Amino acid sequence: MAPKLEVVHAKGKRYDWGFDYARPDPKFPTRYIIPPNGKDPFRVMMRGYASMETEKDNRVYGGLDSDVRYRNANVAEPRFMEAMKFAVPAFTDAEYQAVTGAGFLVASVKNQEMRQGFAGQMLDEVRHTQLEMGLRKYYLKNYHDPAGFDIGQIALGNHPVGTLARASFQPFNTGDPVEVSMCLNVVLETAYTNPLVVALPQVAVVNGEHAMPTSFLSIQSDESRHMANGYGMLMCVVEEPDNIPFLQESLERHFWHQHMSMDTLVGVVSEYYAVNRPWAYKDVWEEWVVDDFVGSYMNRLSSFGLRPPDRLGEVARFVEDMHHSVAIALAAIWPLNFWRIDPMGPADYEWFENHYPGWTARYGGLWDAYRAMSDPSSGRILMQELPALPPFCQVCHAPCVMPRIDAPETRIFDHEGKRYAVCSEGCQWIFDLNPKIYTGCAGWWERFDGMDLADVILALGYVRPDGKTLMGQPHLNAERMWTIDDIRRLHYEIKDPLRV
Amino acid sequence: MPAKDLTEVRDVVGISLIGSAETSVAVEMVAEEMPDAKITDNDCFYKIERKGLLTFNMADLSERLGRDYTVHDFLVNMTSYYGRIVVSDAAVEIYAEILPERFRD
Repeated sequence: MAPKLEVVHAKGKRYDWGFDYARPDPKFPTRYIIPPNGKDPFRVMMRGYASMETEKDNRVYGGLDSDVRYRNANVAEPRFMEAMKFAVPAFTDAEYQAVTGAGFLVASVKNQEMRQGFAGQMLDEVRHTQLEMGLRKYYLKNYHDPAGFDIGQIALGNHPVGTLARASFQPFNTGDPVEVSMCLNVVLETAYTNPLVVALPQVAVVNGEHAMPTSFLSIQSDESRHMANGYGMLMCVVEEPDNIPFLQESLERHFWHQHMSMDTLVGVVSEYYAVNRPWAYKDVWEEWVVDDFVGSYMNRLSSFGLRPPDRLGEVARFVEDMHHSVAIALAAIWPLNFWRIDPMGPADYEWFENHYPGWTARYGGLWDAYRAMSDPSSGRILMQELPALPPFCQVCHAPCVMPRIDAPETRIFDHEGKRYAVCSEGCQWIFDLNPKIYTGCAGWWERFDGMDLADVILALGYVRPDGKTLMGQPHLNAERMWTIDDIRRLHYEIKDPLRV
Repeated sequence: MPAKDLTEVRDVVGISLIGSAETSVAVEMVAEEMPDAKITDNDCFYKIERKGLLTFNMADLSERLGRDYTVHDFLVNMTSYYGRIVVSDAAVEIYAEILPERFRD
């Protein structure tokens, strides 16, 4: 009989190693006091880890085999499948950043038990990247319209809103190690992977898609341990009073930023790429983020002097509207997408009005216009009807249409001789904390300023194998697809709104 | 704005289990042994929530399944949780308190 996990785990801690054989990585020093204590709630040991992960993989790949066998990819609602073209690569971006983040934490924390937890996490993140590549390959080979799945990661990196993923996940491995853990383990994995990786699979199931839930729910079973890594780190550093102001600032920064990206992503996919909607996103956010994360976790830390994010009320206000605004903004720029967007119809209008009173008056007209221009014979696109293109936020990279497209709270300002835009007071506050983090990349419109829209699409590579039909389409019909020639006839020139 | 109080301190913990034959047995066990727990069927996963504490004893689950069922088998099905988790050979426990005994020294 194998010895007990508790016994082996306690014994294993005696075989700790020090840092005398190599210099600690000096790249990102910490401003925190990190006590040598700290616990891994899961007591990760490689013997149990390996057998557990093998079983998980067998179940996921067995599920995919079953989906192939029964040709399930084409049973799913095409509206939902189109969302997987950008949502899964966005997720893979997070995994990749997290691989290096977990490695960075292994090298930064001088506590054997926690290092073991982070070592398990690093292996998990590699596993997740592989699972997501397997899922994408399944879609590519089995879904009837694979255009976009073939270039997912490159396409996401080139997309005007796709860089939201990079902006959101880069802090997983850049900066103070404690704040890396706050961003990755505490905020993203504990608060926000639940709506994304647990709740969203339910939307997939009710829209006939089974491969994503099989993969994502298994991925989240690893994320559970990562949440515990964050708890171990937080409870370790929260005991030092000098750490509290830093922790509070870190929580505030990462909660706002992850809210901007995750509430946008999950809200848009769950409501605008679903035919059947099991819930409204604002309710899911209240359940998983407010009740489970804030109510049962953050609000319990007051005895240590730590309070929940000050902007929680602002986040609640944004969650009512922001995904509606981004969904129609993405539809408006559809030629710049590498997926297709189905126009909303009467059943959708009714659902939105029931769950978000006032939706029709605010967004219905824009969706009417989008639908009216969906056929190439219209000779018009919604982009042309906008008074100006929305700038993209220099911090979170969302379009500056937040929280409401008809009443954006955009801030435009100059910093060291260059003009920038941010989408909200929260992102302005983050920018001002450390502008150097956010001034390194050019604005998306700035890169293509003065170019014809057709040339931009060609530069992005968003054209199907025939060399002329666009990947992005404003409908799901097999016929009547827009081509690069249709776009060139529009004579639409990109104008950087910050230059104009 | 949500109607709920954003400052509420909740005494509730929860676990989400991927739909499977083993999870069905775990859900049955909760329904019988923890009748105060709230169980929600979410099509591909179950969410189980309870005030104060959730305990999944591996000996009980093994008995119900008719075969050995280890904590690592259980964790294959556990997709998420909230609260403070303590994993041992015998059980998975999730506490509402912020610092359960294992984390106090």
